Amino acid sequence: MADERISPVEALSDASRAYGAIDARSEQPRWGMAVDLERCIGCWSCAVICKSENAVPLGMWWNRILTEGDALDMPATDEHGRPDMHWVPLACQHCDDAPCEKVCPTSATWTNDEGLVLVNQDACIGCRYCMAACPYGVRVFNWGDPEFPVPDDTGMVATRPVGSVEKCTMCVHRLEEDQVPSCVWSCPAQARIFGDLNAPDSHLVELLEARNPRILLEEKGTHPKVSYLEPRRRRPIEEVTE
Amino acid sequence: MTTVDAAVTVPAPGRPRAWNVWVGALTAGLLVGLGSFVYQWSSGLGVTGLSNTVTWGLYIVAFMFLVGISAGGLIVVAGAELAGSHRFEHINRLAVVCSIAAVATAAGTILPDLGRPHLAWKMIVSPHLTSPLVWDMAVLAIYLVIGGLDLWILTRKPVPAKALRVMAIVSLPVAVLVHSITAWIFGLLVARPFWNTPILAPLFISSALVSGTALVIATGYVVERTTSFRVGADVYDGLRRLLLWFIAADVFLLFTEVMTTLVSGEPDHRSQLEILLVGRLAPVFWFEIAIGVLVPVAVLLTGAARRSPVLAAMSVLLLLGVLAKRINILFAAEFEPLVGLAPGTPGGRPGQQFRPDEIYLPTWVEVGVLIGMVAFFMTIVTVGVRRAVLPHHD
Amino acid sequence: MTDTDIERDDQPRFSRRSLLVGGATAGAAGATSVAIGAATREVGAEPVPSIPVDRVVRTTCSPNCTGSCGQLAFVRDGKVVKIQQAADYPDEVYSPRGCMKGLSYHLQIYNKDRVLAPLIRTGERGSGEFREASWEEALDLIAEQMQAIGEQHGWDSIHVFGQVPGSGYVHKGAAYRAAATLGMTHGTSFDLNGDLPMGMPITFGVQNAEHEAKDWANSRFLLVIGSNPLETRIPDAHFLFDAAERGAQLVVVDPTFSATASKADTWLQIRPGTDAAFALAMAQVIVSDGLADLDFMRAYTDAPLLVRSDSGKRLREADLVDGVAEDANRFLVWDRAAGAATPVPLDRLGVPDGVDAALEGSFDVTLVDGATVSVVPGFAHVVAELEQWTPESTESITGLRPGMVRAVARAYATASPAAILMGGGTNHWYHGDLQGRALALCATLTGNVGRSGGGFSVYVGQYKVRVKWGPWVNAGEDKAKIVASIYFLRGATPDMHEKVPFPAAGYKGLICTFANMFVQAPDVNTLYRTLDELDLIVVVDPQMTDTAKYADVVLPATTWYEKLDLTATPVHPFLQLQQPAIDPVGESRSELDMWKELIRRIDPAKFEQFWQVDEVDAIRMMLAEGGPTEGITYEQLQAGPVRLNVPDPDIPFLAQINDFEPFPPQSLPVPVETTRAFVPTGRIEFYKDADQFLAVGEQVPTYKPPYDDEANPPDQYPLRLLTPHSKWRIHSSYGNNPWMEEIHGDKAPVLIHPDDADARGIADGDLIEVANTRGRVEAWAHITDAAQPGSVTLHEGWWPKSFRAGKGVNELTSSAVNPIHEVHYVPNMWAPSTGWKDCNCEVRKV
Repeated sequence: MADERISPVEALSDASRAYGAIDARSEQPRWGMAVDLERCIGCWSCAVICKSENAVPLGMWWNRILTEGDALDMPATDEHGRPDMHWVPLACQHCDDAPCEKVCPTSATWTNDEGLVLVNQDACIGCRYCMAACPYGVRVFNWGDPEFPVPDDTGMVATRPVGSVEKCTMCVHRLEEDQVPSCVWSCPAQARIFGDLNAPDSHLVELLEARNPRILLEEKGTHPKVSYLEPRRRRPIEEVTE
Repeated sequence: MTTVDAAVTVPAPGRPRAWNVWVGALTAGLLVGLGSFVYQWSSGLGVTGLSNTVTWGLYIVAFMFLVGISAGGLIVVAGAELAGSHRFEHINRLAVVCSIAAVATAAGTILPDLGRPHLAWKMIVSPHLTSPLVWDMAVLAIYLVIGGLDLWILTRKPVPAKALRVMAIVSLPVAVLVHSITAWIFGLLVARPFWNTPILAPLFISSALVSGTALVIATGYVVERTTSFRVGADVYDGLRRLLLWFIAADVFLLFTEVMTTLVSGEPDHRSQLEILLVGRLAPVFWFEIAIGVLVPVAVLLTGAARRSPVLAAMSVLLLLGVLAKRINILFAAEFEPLVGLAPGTPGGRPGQQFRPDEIYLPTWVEVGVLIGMVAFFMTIVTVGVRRAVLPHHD
Repeated sequence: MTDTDIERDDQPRFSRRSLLVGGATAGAAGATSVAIGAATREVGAEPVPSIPVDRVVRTTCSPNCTGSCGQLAFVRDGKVVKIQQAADYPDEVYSPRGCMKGLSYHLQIYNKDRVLAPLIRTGERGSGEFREASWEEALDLIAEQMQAIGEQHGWDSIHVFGQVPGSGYVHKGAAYRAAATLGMTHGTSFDLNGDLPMGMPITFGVQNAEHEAKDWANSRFLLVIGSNPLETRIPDAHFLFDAAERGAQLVVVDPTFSATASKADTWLQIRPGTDAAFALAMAQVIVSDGLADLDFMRAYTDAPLLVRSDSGKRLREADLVDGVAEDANRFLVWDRAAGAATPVPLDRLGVPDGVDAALEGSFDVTLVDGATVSVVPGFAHVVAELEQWTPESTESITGLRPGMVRAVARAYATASPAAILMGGGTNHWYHGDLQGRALALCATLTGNVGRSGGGFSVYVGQYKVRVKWGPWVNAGEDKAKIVASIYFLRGATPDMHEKVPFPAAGYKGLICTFANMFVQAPDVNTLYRTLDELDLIVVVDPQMTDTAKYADVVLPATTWYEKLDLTATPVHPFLQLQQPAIDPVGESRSELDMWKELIRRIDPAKFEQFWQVDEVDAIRMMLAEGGPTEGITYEQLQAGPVRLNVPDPDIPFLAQINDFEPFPPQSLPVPVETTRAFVPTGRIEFYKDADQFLAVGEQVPTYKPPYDDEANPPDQYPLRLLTPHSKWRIHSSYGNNPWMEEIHGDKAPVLIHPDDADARGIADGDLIEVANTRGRVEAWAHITDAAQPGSVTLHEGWWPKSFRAGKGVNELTSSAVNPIHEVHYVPNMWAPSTGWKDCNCEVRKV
């Protein structure tokens, strides 16, 4: 059965591959993502598929869903005494001006031609300076021998060595095969929109122009390539008085 | 460690039994440190108390502290030289030995903090020049070389005055850079508002002056009590006066930082400061203020401080105060990450959940490595005193 | 009580410090960043390659969630290394489907709790002491004991329990086939799960009937009540946003601030168990404001049908004239034009042309015996009932401000189309039928039945058998005897319907498949008393659940990545295969294999006759029956999902509304003749004239307070215990999933309002006892404003390991049977539906 191995993308049916195809690509792509905070339902599908896709060991997450509220999935009470809660999916923001990259003493963290901030595990000495430097706290360290849920074999990419730092790669291995990152594929609420920021006809660019996105910790000057689309304005029913 | 053996070959003055105990203790300490480090290296940093939130802990505290206490030697020697004062000539070799020991140990503490110490050489062969860590390693190396040269010059007979002056001119800015760049390792990070303040480098320098001077006093006192070396009341008093000035500068800068942040600081910076004032680190912070500043200042201003045991004791308190300050600076920024929403940061190890609230306690492995560092530091001081200070002491 | 309805009128603030900050400071901030320059050095610039796989298998994830999400299993070295949505639906609005649980199912396949070999009990029941055995030995032992029970007590005293046949027709159907072969009784799940919305058979004559999920997007107004799609129907939740983006309003009625409430335009924080009062107040406003579609009521409902004032029964043609055959005994309306009662046809909805059917008033008719009785249209009874339930009069019940109820009622009645999405939070009550009937009244009054974007849909439970599966689940002419499992759990009830084939000798054996029954059934302390009477408990499960731990023999089942099956679901009408991606893990075997082996041992003749079949044979047998599966082939299914032969969008009652065919449409798999008795008028019924309804005063939709107030009086047990579904599990499945545990922890939290916590001296994180007369558990307090004062929330499905003490939350829940649910007996269609949330309790600090 396993005589001939096949790329996980090639193995897809036409319908599935078409679903995951990147919608537009310029000559020099600059990959970016938008997250629709209205559509995010805090289900962690993106976080979970990231673990499978990228062979992220138990205890580690590249992608997580924060609750803007009181606790996990619990609302805070706003100044009007009303409960309020939103989810903010958080992974590497792939900053144009990446603080993690600047501080890396060995250039293990670098930015590729397509704007993705990546870690070259061969060069990482494990000083964790990048973790101190990242305002978003999205990097995780290999503290010891990794454990995987599926014994001996897991994920679609190689695992990282003990003592090195890792994080979201925007599924760079999938982009090679013209497929969106796995978190984008797997979001059941279609809250994640991936695309080429240099392609004017990409859905991503259209959305960013139409919806005035917010940038996480914009004042830190990191210039992320991940944007957040605001929740829709509520249209509450007016109480009648008679 | 060959340095220990070398030291042992020098005949011990006076109390051979105490000497043997001392050498035994240093050896044991070094072995404990080495063993802990090897164990940590083979298991991964998971055996420490560090996490994805508190990524830096005891080792980096030690690093910051050691860099700070290295200030004494060069500043006492080079500063006095440039000021044209010969007041501290008497103890300048001792001061330089302290500096060398501190810098060498500081550079050494980086190694156990690395996840992959065996790749540390990559920092040398392919350094990334925008990284303050690279610059700090470089400047520490330069500082070590200068210290060695200084010591070499100071042990010539007669001491070549011109060479000493040249060294002073070179080493003073390097010393300032050592502390500044170490500060900038932290201070340049936008992710850590508590560190990301222009005052961090001046603050590092001022507290380095305090701790460096205090170390010279404390070490001088110990050497004085255990060998024929004598510091002398005049030197002690000069150092006491210096200390007061340094403390004044340090307190002023600290006050400026707290004041500015509390009154008009941006919220993230303020909330990290609040960890110190009223939060999880409040005991350490108020220890820093009370035991590390108020008590020593009060005593140093009195006549009692003219007695060397009292002065030495206050120096130890000042050292502890600076240590507390290093702890505070490091963890205030780490305990409260900028993005601190539930469920928090991944624990990092199998079976661990996300961690909403972070605390950090070093494990025995880290303590073991720290014991090794202390022993390493003490060994260098011991060798230095025996080889470079005592033989040249009149 | 605090003000309980919350409107959301502003954009959310990112409250905790400055997580998201606008652009105001951005310019200045740019200058403060390190200005040394970002030297990009392309170390290791070569791309990271994907690791190839052996194959990718298209299959279907199908726990008891109604999702039936198409998944791809990525297989390498004989192991599933990644599971990801197939996203290959011909109707692309359904792609991708799937949630974090399905995507982490490989952690279940390789879980440390996985049962890898047959186990035979060596210690006391529940001690967890077993020895491993061969399949041969285990099967011999089970067959021998089954035979002993069968011969001594009758085969019907063995209960076969299995959850949700719709999630796997082959292997779950095999249990029915086995029960039919041997004469065992098979249990039920839809009713035991409390998911059977008894308001549906009572009102519409159907088991349940809902709009397919994509039709939510066609709505202009969505009233989501007692339902939390954002957490419990993750694959379909986005249709709510699709609707909102097209301008629909989203109103969520929930006692707690649910995930769905967080996205609502308006959230009404109703008191638990009072949804009927709210719905009646809505209906009252709709009627009194003249917003009701009375022509719709006349045409499709029993509103105009005359009811005798003397007996409360409907006036029938035979009451007025002699010689009317029983099957032609028509119902009558009052024709205002003619000033006389006139019959309406039985075989066609609507009112005959020229008849002006009265909906109000009282009229006299002369009976065949010459007596005169007064009659009123059924609708008059409904309107008279509604007069008691105004927004003002229900405020003290629901806690909702009258002005809000009135506004919501008007917005609902004037939006077109408007949908009601009801969930378990409304259904899971002893009087869940009344709550459903009242909401059905709102939908019908506004003519939203049988309309795209409208409807009254109850989304709870994966009940629907969408194929004609008779040839597979029956053994020739023999059909399995089906006993609603509530009777297995608690024994026969006084009002139990005579058609329930309850075993004469009681129960002596249980074969439990696809279920963590001893944790997840209601009122488990009562269940355990039944278990004590059993000579044999066999549990078939891939995981060592607490149910398996209590078994005499545990058989290692395969997961759905290790076998072939056929699935479909109510909410998206696609037929899909589960196709094996890997060989069975350990010694595990499929349920079909297990039944074959048991029957070969017990009855070799019948084995020869009925069991020389495999999964593919079974699938072909079901497909061949046609109807919804007409023209669908096994080969087609191997390639991907195939839409059933249903309308697009799949909406119930189209034939009734468009073509005036009488209610009810068929509820598969039973013939329509069986369910016709539910609504004898052939119309949507809001007036029920059966004796039992008359006896308890439930002829028309009304409100009754929560029933558990009798068993657990509020003065002693003042808190309502809500046990909603958790997003982290499908019931108890995934309760041992390492990834889920990393996210939510392993301690069951009891959500409690600060006021209730303060009154009891409870601090956040305290260990507390939750108790009532039925049982008690110990878990940890989580104080939150999301809870409603007067209620505590403890999600169902936590494994007992997540409590400090107790067998889980179902120590407290109720197994009370509502006699109205016993008026008829059609398993899973008109049968006792569990009122999980009818459960009072008290908490205290341990």
